[in-house]
Parts: sequence; C-alpha cells; structure tokens
Amino acid sequence: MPGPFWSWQRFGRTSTSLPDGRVIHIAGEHEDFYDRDFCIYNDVVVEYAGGDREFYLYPKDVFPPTDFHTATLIGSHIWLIGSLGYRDLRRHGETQVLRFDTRTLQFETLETAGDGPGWISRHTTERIGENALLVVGGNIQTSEGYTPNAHVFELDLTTLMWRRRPHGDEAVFPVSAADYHAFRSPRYGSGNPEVSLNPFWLAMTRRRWRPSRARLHYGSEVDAGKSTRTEKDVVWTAVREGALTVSLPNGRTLLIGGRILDYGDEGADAWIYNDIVVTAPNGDIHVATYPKDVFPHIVCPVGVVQGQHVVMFGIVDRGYHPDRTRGPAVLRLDTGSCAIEPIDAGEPPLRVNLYAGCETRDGERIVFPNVRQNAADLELGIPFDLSSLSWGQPVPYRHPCPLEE
Amino acid sequence: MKTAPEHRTRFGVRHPEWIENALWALALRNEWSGYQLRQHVRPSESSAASRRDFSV
Repeated sequence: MPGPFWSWQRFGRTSTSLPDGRVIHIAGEHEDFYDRDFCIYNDVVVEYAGGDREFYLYPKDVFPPTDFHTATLIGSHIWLIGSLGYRDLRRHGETQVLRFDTRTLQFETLETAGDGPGWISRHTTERIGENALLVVGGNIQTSEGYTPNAHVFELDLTTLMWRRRPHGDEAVFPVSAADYHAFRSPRYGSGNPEVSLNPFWLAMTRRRWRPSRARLHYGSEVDAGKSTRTEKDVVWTAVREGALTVSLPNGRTLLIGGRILDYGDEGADAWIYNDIVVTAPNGDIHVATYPKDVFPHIVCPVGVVQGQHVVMFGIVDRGYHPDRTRGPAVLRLDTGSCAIEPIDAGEPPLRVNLYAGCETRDGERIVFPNVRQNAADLELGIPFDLSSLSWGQPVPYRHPCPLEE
Repeated sequence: MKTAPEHRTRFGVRHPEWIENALWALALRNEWSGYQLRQHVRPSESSAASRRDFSV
C-alpha cells in the first residue's frame, strides 16, 4: 500500500556536522498517529557544504524507523542511541544502538549487554573519555508505561557493556554533591563587585551545562513551583538567553546578565541574572556578583563600549523590583574593576524598545527604537547621548530587525 | 519490486539506496509537511492510504 507523503517537518531527527563539511540528517518523525502523513522515518539526508542534498533509504530490518534518538560522532562513525519508534515495535528492556559509517553510509546494529537504560528516547548522550558514552535524562518505555529516566548510564564502546554511574560522580563533573548543594544557586554580591570563585559556577561555565543537565547529574528534584521559587531553589548556569556578550581588547570576554525563561526544558530554574561571568584569555573564569540595587535584574540588555567602560541599557524587571520604573536602567560598567555605576538619566521621552540589534550608534549618540503599540504608530528613535549621559528628543528612525541570538 | 509514487515515503531496497527525488528536494527546501506536499501535487489518491504498511 502507498505510504504517507514525504515530509521534512519532523521531530526527533538528528543532524550531525562532520569535519568534511557534510551534515548527516537522520530519521525523525512527522505528526502523530491520527495524521494520514504520520511517519517515523528510517532515512538519511546527506547535506553538502555547497547546499546539495542526497537522499538515502534503508530496508527497515537494517535501520528501523527511528525518532527521538541521539547521534554522537566518534571518528568516522555516528553512534545512534535509543529511539521511541512505533508503539508495537518498541522492545521493552532493550536499548537500540546503531553505528552509522559516514564513509559508506551504512548502518550496523550493535548488541549491547549489561545494566542498560532499556527502551529510551528523548535523552541526552555525551561522550566521556575516549571510549564511552554517557546517557542521561529522557524517558523509558516499559510494559507499565513511559516514565522519566532517573539514572545515569554509561556504554563502553569497546566492550558494548552498559553500566550505571552513581549520581554526582566527580569523574563526570568535578564538583561534589556536597558542594553542589552548597553552591548551586545564584547569589547576590555584597560588594561592587564581589568576586566569586564558586566551584560549581566555574565548572558549569566550563562545561556549558544547563540547569537540567546538572539536576540529572546529581539526581536533584525540582524544588519549588513558580509562585514560591526563590534563588535558593534555582540551579545557576552560564547558558542563558538574552545575555550581553562583550569581547574586550585585552582578550577578556564578559557574559553580562541574561535569563532563563519560566517555561520549556529549563523552566524549573527560571531566573534573571545580575552577574557578570568574566573569562580571561588563558581560560581563567571568575564571576562578578552585585547587590541587586547596584545591578538590577534587567532584560534585553544592550551595551555599547565607550573607552574602558560599557554603557548598559536594560528594561527593569518589576517582578524583582516592584519599586522601580521600567526604565530602561542605564548602568556604566568599568571593564577593569567590574564596578557598576548607575547613571541617573531620568525617563526617556517615549517608551524605549530594547532587543538584540535594536540600536544604532553614531559617534557619541545611540538611537533606540520606540515601543509601537500598533502599526499606525510612527517608527521613531530615542537618542541617548554618551557625553552628557542623557536622553534626547525623538527622531525619525527606521527600526532594525532583531538579530538572531 | 513495487515502486511507491515518488512523493510518498517508502523503505529502501538496498543498504543504502541512493535516490534522486525532485519532489522531496522541493519539500526539503521549503520545509514542507506531508500536507503541503499533498497540496503541491494535488493527488487523486484517497485519504485512506496506509499509515504504516508501505514497505516494498
């Protein structure tokens, strides 16, 4: 019988970039069982650097329909771990492990043994050392249901043996469980700045772990709902949305502020950060923390470098600062000392809209777009003068498109 | 060997089977869903097409 119409709108597909410039797109699924084009694919699309694509199909006994798997490149092979797959083809207790040869484009089914995760999908796989993969998170299909995976599994790629790793294993992440509990949350500084060498923050920055990854590592439950969450319930991360990144002439980079939204995979650790992660050219990291009245919680930060300073603009989050106006707050950061000085620029004449790429600099003048409530409102710019540190009167201004982060 | 219409999904018959398919290439470029590809080719097939048993 004829199959569904082919679709590229898929969930649970992997895309793996190769050193030779190719991207290998593997399988995935389209829609759900009620849709006439529902399909779990078992194909490969090879995308070349110039944009050409090639389609490869496989017998289903060589490459079963596969989705929500992971793909990890090791040498010239891509290791595929897990799959959700069609309900009646899920093999409870087994873990689908396939190895894809990027030279021949052929799959090999691997029989594994030991204490594996079972029929896992929607998980994360990381390479650990030369010859092992670590599998965390996701869900496991058993005969009783589809339940979250609470364990950490390691697959030895030489013996194809699975074993469980303990939560908080310091060979995986170099911070003890005790230090995780002591240091895991955001904190306000008591100085301007207070420099922190919090070991958990530094390791999180180096590994670029999101909060959910740390929770999986430590087997740490979500602590509180949105309405009762405080900073003590939040796991700190340097992987943030909307942070301001500044590269300085001396080679240091600054990650300023940013936020974790209160929905999605990281929603349990929603936070607006008021700190600065400083990375030196040699890789040394420290975090500058501040009292919240010195560095208020701001969103959509925009910064301009002015000599040894960064002048920062950000909309004040009134959930954290109910006594302040929306702003934008204007702050001047000394990039040498990391001290922050509030600039009393007053209120701009119109509401300022801040987003990545919104501003245009003309010498000592920066122009920001106004907030437009509807399409009939004029596109205007509100200038800020860096010499006098004050807002000027609105001017005609074509609003730039937002930059992608 | 049965051959599926070129806009439809099928399993491969070799390991691997390289195919050229202008419609799939178009769907990929446009990131089309199955529905959008249907709209494009305006097929006469009924909507009762199998969801699963489409192997060759």
